[in-house]
Amino acid sequence: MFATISLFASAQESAAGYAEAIKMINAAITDCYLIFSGMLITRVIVEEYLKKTVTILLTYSVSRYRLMAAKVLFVLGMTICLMSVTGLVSLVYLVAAGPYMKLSLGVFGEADFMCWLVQFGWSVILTVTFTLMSMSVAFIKKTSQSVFVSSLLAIIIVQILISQDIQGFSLVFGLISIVLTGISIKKYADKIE
Amino acid sequence: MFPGGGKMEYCVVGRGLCKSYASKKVLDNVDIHVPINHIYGLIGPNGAGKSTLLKCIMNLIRVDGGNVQVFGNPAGMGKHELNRTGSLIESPYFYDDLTGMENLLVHSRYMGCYDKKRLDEVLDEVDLTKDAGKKVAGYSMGMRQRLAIARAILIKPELLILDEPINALDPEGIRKMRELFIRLNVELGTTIIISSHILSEMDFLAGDIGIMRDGRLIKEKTMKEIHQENKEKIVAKVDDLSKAVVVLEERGIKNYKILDDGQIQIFDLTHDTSYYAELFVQSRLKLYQIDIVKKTLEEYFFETVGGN
Repeated sequence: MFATISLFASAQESAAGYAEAIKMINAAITDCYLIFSGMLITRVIVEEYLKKTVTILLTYSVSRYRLMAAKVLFVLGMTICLMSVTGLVSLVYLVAAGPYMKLSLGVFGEADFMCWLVQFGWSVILTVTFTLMSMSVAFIKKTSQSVFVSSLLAIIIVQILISQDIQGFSLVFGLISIVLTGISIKKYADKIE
Repeated sequence: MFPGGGKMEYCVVGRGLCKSYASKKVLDNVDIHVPINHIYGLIGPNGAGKSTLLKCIMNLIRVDGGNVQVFGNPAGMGKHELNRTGSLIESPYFYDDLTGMENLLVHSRYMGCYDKKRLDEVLDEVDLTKDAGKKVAGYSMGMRQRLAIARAILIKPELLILDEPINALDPEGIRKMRELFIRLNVELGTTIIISSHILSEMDFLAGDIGIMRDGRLIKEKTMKEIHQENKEKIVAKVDDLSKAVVVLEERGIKNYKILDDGQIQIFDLTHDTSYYAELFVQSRLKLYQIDIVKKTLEEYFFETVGGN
């Protein structure tokens, strides 16, 4: 992540101001965490099916929907927490190291911070949205390959949305993915045959 | 008790259970009746549908038709019923990165019955106390099997569903598990459904037998009925076989066979052993041994499923 920031910041044409640098950094963070959440989904959800430990989970006197929903929340929680830490560390690094890296970014002001907050907010929404999509795929297909492919597709879509400044679409995708995740848990999570 | 208040005879009742995968019928209109507090043995060749039937009872797979009633609940295995049931379905699956004890701990917390003393107790019952701190990844198949049994009995279940629980165990382990199952059944009144290929073990354990073949439950009988129906022959050992043959022939008994080891097998079962004993003794034959030989469960099984 630090290398990414430094590379972006070193290329003066690419980062003429903080807004530009922040956008690039958040895009990189989003990509990283889409991969990270894909790996977490594989570990927490898909492996239960691959190693068949799900047959034990399904014999517990706990609501199967709640059990799987807890896994979804765990993946989302972990991803958002670590993403927030990464975002903050990256911001601090950018502000602190910026002046020493041939940058002409000027002084980091309140407006820049607000810009970071908005951009980072979109990054979180995009990550949550596409992580939910990958989780739906995990519940339906139950293979690590399908989760990996869905994470890669998510990265491509996210890059398009960020580069075209149409992150607002992620709200629509987000609503769809919430519904899709709910349906996939209800219909497919306890299907082990 | 049934919800209606009447006395519950059966712990599990399945009616018209059907399940297909692609075009293959795995369960074909299966009716099963597991009496409460009994040990019910489910036997059948590979691919007969035993595991699928047990999964249906556990609500691990959805049936295409029919219904399962558990503890009198017509909706089958729900949250309340799962809380009273221990199971070992298919292979013993665990979180391999955790130790045996940790796996049991996870299970006890999910089942809402954490009790350290009970954990130690079940580990002791399956002889895993020494290995409880080792990661399950390093367990042998037999150890995994024993740990799975420990997990299944952890909550002192009223219903215990065991799919091939003694497969990977050594003779000593099989004996101990047999004693454990019988103790659970006798002391706690646990209803046990057990599927196994080891028919001699089922002969020891089960009070009721269900025989499956090609997705159908073709016979459901108590062991008592099986033994009563399957008296096969009377075997006697006398000092003079030729004289014994004359005695039998004089009485019009022709359905017998002489064996090389001095035994005579009588297949005419219109008379009992006391009749033949009296006959031989009155004819001044020395009778060393006389017994009625019943068919074993294995013989009955092969006769029923039509195998060799």
